[in-house]
Amino acid sequence: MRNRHAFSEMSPMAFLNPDFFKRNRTRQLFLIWFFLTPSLVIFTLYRIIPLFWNGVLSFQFWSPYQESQFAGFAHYEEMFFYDDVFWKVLWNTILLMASAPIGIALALLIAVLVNTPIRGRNVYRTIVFMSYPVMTVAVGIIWQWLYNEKVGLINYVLISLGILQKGIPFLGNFTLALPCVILASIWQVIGFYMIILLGGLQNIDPSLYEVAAVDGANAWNRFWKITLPLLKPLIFLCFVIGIINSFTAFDLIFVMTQGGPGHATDLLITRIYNVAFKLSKFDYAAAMTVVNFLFFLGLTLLANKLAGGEAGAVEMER
Amino acid sequence: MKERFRSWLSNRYTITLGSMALLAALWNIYVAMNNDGIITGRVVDRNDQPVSGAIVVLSEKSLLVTASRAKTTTNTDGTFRFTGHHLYHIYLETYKEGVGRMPSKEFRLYFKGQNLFLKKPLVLADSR
Amino acid sequence: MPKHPRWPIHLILIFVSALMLIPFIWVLKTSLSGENIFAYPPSIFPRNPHLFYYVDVWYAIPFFRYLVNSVIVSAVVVLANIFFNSMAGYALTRDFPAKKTMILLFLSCMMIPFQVTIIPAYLITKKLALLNSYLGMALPVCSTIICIFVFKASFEAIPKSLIDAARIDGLSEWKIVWRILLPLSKSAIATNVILAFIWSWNNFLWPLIIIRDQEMQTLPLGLSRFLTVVEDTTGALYAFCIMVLLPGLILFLLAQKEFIAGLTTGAAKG
Repeated sequence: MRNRHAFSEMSPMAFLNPDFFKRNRTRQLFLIWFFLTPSLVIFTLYRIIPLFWNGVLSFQFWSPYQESQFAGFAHYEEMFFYDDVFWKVLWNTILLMASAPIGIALALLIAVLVNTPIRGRNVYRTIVFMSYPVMTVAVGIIWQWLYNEKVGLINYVLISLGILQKGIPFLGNFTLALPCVILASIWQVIGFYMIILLGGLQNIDPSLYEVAAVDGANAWNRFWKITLPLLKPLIFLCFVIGIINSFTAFDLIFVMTQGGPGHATDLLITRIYNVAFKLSKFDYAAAMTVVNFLFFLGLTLLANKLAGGEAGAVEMER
Repeated sequence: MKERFRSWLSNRYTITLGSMALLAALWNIYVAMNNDGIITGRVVDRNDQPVSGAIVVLSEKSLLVTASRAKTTTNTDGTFRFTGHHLYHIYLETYKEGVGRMPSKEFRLYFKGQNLFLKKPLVLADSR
Repeated sequence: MPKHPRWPIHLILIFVSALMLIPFIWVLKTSLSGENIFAYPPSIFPRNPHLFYYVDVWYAIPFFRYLVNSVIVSAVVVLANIFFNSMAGYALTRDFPAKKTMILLFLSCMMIPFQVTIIPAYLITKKLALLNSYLGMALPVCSTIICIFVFKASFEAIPKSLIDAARIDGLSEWKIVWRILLPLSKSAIATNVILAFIWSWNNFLWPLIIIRDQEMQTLPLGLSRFLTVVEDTTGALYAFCIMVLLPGLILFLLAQKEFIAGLTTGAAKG
């Protein structure tokens, strides 16, 4: 009779008994699923269900006070053909995303500089990175005030340098507002890009450079031929983060311009928020959200493809 | 055991958070000792003579409005005293019929009900 | 490798650092003396520094209440994250029938950014009657996929012989995770704590959607509400900014290494 009770009395030979696995297997399986459940519940509840609910909602007429009716493509029709604001905010979102490469290029430059063996590089690294863990709302307030027409620092500098005669209301100007917001957004995220790129730079084997130098390559060639290709996955990772960042620029816009003037700084996400929670048109906003998601998905897959496969999607919620 | 305690003590988190907690505790003690809400001062006229019977008005300035909170009259030697105020941003104004008035003067305190003992007297200027 | 002169690098870096620091210095300066709101031209050093704007902030707005709310929500999120993520990460290291599907499921959840879920998430939270509550604020971020994979990678790095020995010794699964795996994954825990804390502390959009009570607002909400009330007529706004920035900055400066390591791992694992 095999003793199945006390574990400590079991000999290692017991593992060879198939019955041993069977009895414990169910228990193990049960435990594994038990461990997976809390996370699964949260993701199902707050990611998977919302994704499908959005889709369903976008095809319905629904409001909190009345029953839902099937709407077909009515919302999409309204959005694509009749809603000028939609196209404007889509364009703004694209502009914001297109500015990500600028930030990445700057961050790469800074990362390369910080990577050189100079004294105090950690201090520089800390200073550049400091802007990232800061609350975006506070960043918005600070920048909004830097751009102030009368007492803003930027206007003051420009005037004392003689470039301007009197201050421009940066955030009230139809053409300048969005670039100003983009600048603030880059300021905040450049530290993050730099840290990632710095990590990548430090992972590059220095012997590669030495070999190239021996072969006669100058610094510029070394950078182009060795550094950049090796950093390619990370650069595209930063690009994906930049895309996601453009969706999360909500905080900045809400505080700095509320989407104004007109809809000059409205992004897709701020528009969705306004339509859903200020105008209570949940169904229309759901349709916009679907477009938002497809756009995001398309861009991420594109970036993934360009990066050569496994750059992957990073989820940054802020 | 002592080693672990010492390393835990010199851990940078303990030092920072500990000193912050210590500062907060000390500040609270200071506040508790000084928040009886007493304001005392003297009113004089242009010639530095104490003015008795002048009316002193204490007003509170909140972020948006100013509202008067208490009134008192100076004693024979020109001193006045408020007690029990719970304010931190105040205006003091004083006037006396026939002698003059002093427009609102602003005082800011570090915590609600801080005791304020005015060193310089409030000077009544001539009224027009 | 030829030696480059060092000073141009320093120069550029100093210039960049100045650009990055100026907003901080400026807001600090304004919070100490409200002059840049009305006075012109602005100057580098505060002319009459005083701390009274901080007193204004402390009393005029329920700063402490907001702080407490933010702390509670962040604490809940961080603790829940550690538990749920380590559990899920451990489960993913074991072999079980639906493992591949589960991993695929998780990875695909990563492709769903938060912003596309806000409307139904709001409706779900409403159905669960969790509007205006700490739990409602914390729930969507109580588990994040990056952190699950961080834990998974960290658990897989632990030699299997250790786990097998523990199992022979009769430890239950719970105890294995608790006593053996977690203490050996300190860096994964640190990463988790930092990422979860930062996301929930700075989270603005989600509390904005579900919190209506003024009593339950968190720091970012309180700050933006304050902005709409006073516009920029008072230095108290900037004092509020500083007070709001300080915890994040102090935490960052204290935990720099873990911070940076956490973010690079989080990004690299993606």
